[in-house]
Amino acid sequence: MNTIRPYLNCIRHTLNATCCLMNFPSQQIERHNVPEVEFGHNKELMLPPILISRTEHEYCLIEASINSLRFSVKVKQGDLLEEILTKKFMRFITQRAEHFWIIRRVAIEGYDISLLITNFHTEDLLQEKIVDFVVTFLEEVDKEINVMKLSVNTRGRAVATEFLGSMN
Amino acid sequence: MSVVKKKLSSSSGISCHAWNGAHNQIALCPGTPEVQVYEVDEQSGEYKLVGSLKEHEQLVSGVDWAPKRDMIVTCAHDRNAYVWERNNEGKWEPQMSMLASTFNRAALCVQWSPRENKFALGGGSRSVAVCYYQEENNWWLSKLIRKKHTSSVTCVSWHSNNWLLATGSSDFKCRLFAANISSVDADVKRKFGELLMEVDVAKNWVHGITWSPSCASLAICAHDSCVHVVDLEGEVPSIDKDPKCYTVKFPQLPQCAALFLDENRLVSVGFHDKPLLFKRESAGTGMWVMEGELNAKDTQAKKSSSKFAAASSMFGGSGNSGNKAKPTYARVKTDIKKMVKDNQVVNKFSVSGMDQNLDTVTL
Repeated sequence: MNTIRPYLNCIRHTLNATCCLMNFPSQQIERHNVPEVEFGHNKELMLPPILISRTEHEYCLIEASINSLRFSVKVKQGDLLEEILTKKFMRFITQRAEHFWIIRRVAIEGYDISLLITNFHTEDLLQEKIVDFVVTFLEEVDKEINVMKLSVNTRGRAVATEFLGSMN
Repeated sequence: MSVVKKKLSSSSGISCHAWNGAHNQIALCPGTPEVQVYEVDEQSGEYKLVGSLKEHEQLVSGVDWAPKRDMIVTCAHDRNAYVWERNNEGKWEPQMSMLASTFNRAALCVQWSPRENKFALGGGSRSVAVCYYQEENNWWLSKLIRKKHTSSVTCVSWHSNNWLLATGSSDFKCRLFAANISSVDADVKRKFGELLMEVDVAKNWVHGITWSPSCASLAICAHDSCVHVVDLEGEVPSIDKDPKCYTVKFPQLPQCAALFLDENRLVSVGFHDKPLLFKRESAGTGMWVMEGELNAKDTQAKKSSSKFAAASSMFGGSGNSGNKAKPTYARVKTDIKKMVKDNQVVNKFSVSGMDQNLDTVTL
């Protein structure tokens, strides 16, 4: 738990600095207002992407533009079990994406889950609270997967003991 | 310094505001296609809704009030601009404004020229429209400065000589143009749309520009967490000369709009929760430095803040773990306007932003 703290702090500070979004209507399509980071029509409206990694297998990517920010996470997947657990867990969350407001229905390639924060979110919600949510979310995902892994292992051991015990 | 907060929008933030000449009436856009005009009671400080300007179809992004001629100009994301005048009954009515068909993206900013006979309009079409009144047809015509910007024009500001126009753009640059219209400024012999200077000091999107009272310096607020001040020293800018420029870096979040208090002091607002004050190290000429944040005196702030603000600050205080050191939550402030007459030291100004409040600050 403690080792994840510097990683999360780094994410918190970076998000606080990059989450300066403002209303910016599209330069391409008349009367439209689209998240620039998703369309990428205008190179000058994008900020350089930032990659924060904790280990080789656990990192996140922050892509910011003038009116939107995309935050993509790769969750630690040490073994096959963690891989399956992450996949199922993220599927559960992305299916309920509309309840989370900022979660993208589809993660960008190479990542487990993506969040899309637009200027309308920072206008309606408090920016610090959004960043709080993201950090708590990451913390919870890490915790949740560890707990699930433990319980699957415990359950596996219990089943095995029960099964082999009946062999006697 | 004292701050009076007034909640003037119910749903979303105030995108822009402008005062009339006497500073007792304000036109503001509460994040909707509508612009509301309030009258301010000087004794009680109450705001009374006296008019509403409904013609736009999308968010109004800019509003400006011509103090002498008492006309309002508004522009919106629906790519239209309207000039509003009071009719005989005192109601605001829009005048026709013909925008060139190439001005075909959202309008982002608008400002009356100092003599109030034309206005400049910047927008997402990467161009600036300079609009002037044509009496024969009773409408406002526009002339475009095209192909000079490579991205949206986010802010415009007129020099006091009525023909020099400064623009800031999301292509990181700030430019000066000759924006004289032959039928309006007969005495100026310049080519319309001539690029006089290109200031390439900002490392990111330019959000706001403003002239000092004497128009000797130009302040640029950009997304690179810097305020840049360009000194023109009374000369007419030319493209060949490099301007003298001071850059002030600060650790706070980027600033969106600035206002000169006098020649040597500058206040700016933006993503940081408090206004920042800048000044020249030695009066007259010299480096610019950051003086610090403008803090409201505690007692006055408590008295003036509404019940809602008190309640929301309570929620803020009990926030999640990790950032208890920052109990004040703020949203971006996008507009700052002075509340004193021209040629006076600014000791009172108003700030609006996405937090639905209009703050009037008295120094």
